[in-house]
Amino acid sequence: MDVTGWLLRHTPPRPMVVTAPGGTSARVAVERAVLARGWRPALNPARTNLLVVAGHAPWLEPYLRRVWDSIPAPRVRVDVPEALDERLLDDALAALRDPVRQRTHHTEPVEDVFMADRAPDRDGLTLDELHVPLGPVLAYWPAGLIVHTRLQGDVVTAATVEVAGAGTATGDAFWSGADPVARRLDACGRLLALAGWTDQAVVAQRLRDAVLDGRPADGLARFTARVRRSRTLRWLLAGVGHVTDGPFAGDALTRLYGWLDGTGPPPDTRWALDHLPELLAGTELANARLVVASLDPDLEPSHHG
Amino acid sequence: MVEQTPWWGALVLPAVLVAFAAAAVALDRGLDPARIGFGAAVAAPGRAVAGLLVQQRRRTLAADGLLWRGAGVVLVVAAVLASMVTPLGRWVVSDLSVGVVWFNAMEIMAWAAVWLAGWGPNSAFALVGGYRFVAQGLAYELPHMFVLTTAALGAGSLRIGDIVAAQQGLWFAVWMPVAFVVYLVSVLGMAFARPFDHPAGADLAGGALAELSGVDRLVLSAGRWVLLVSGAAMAVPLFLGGGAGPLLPDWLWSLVKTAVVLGALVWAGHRLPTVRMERYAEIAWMVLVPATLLQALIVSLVVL
Amino acid sequence: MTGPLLLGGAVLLAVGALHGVAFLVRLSRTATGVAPFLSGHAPAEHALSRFHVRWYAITMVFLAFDMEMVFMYPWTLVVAEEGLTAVVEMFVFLAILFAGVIYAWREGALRWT
Repeated sequence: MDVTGWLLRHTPPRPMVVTAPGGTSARVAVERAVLARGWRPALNPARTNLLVVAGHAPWLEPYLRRVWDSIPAPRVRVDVPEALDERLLDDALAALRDPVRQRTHHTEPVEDVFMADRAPDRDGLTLDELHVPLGPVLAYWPAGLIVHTRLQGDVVTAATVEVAGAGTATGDAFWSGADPVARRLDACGRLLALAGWTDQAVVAQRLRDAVLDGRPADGLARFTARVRRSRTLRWLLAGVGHVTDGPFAGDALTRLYGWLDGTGPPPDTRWALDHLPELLAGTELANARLVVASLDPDLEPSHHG
Repeated sequence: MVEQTPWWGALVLPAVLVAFAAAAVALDRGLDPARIGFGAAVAAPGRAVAGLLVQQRRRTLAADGLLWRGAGVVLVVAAVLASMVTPLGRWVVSDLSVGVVWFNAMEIMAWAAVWLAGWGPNSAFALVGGYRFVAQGLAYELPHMFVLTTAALGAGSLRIGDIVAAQQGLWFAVWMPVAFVVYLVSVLGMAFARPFDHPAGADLAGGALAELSGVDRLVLSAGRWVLLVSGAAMAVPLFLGGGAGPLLPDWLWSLVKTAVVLGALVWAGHRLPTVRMERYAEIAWMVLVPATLLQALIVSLVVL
Repeated sequence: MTGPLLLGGAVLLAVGALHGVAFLVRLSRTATGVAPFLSGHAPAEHALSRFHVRWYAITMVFLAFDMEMVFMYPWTLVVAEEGLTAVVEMFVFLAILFAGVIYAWREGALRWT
């Protein structure tokens, strides 16, 4: 009996979804299909066996290739350029479970690197400093954004923002034609997922899909009340990414509440990109992620092209 | 009232722990808002094992392979050994006179294991995750040790069997409620289970576990779940009267109570966002440490 | 003391068996020299570095209490015999330690961002 084949057939698919700018409609369709099939998303190459690319951007390919090279067997790549044909996922699943295709696996070892350099730290001493880029291949991260951070321990000492492949993205600005409630729910979902409240993040996603379909979003009021009522969430998000003025005045919590109430903040990608470096400098990595999610910059073509 | 099992008890115990861990994984998947259904939830742990057995192992650039892979082994061995002194009804693998200290010593090995898992792969996200767990340990461990002491104080003994015997009139959970609740919170902390899963957080793309694949991930995940089970199971003799209960045999009461505690812990993980130590450390030290000390003081005055 | 040896041995055997099964059913050999996950970027340097541990002060306070536990575990056994004296001695000691915690807290050691 072929035990390997049997185990492969029972391997749960763990999709890692990477979104190119302009790929929002594909991402939304993929997220919907993944939820409907009861698959748990993967956050990193080691965990995934299904690399799903939503949208298309040539500049993204080198990043995808590096990620692909670090995914262990079994693995399948699925490209969803525009609309999702469910057969794409069915085919991917068949490929994932085919022992013959999965046995031919070869990766190129990466080149060795040097030890970390040192830089002055905030206590006036000298400490090792790492270069840790965030994006473009990162879960719950704005498509097309790269933030180059310098990291001492888990503290971001400096950050620079890069909009990768600016102006080269194809496709329509997804949210400009959609109900603004759907976009806010999308942003809520990302922020809640990063805050570690996966269950409510999924509820947000489900409500978003209902709004996009024009179906009645049953439970929107319940979801809003539930998230607003959580004292733990209030305690965890209060003061994170505090901004004194501008469109995003307040902290991550007030911005989340603004999305929930439909009162704001209005999307302002330009402001977010301009102010990210100063907002991220000196924050802990977890806070940096929450700050970016709470500003939710949208790099779809219409906003900068 | 607690007696040591023959040698084969040492083989039964890991099997029981693994069965509970599988049930906890199934419950965790069943509670997922994706609502995969009962059958799929029950099959989930088995399928996860199948997937990890067949998945290719990987070794990152200039990884410290020995320490990295050793982390999972340390975690799973410590998690099982922690339950060595936990009675199932009236049977226990080893009824040590210092059972409470033994449990504490084994469970604290998680500090080394998770930090090593983060250090080993030479990966920035994993490294940050490993250090997060040390910070977490510094927050949950002191209140945890104080509540262990409080239970021992109530019985005047560090032997788990004596602690069970001391609860024949009244369960410790009833008259040491603060200690009981803090114990459950610290169990979630030590197993870095949700909502204390920041060391393996989504913001770090999986943190300390980010680079693990294949059988290496299987061993470490098993250790993590078994540690949660060991913590939940120890709540029964420490605070819930051990195997005491009407009608049913004592071993069945132990199992039922363990299942209830474990279920409550997994359920709580779905209700709360991830607790970050940057916020929690202050609560742990300024609220939980004095609260548990006060609880210990009250208990010590009662037993005088 | 055969308990821990038997139990530890059983678990190690089980872990070994898992590795054995995984070896037999593997799809391919262990991938080596894999790049760590950095959002799709190649690493610029090794990640292993001196880490900025900002909660260093907490570890110091923790160690003081950890030492205290060495006294507190045996103390639980004698409280009933020794009576009120033992209780007073232990909690005066704990109060002194906790005064240190309050000082550290006021100095901001428990908040590091």
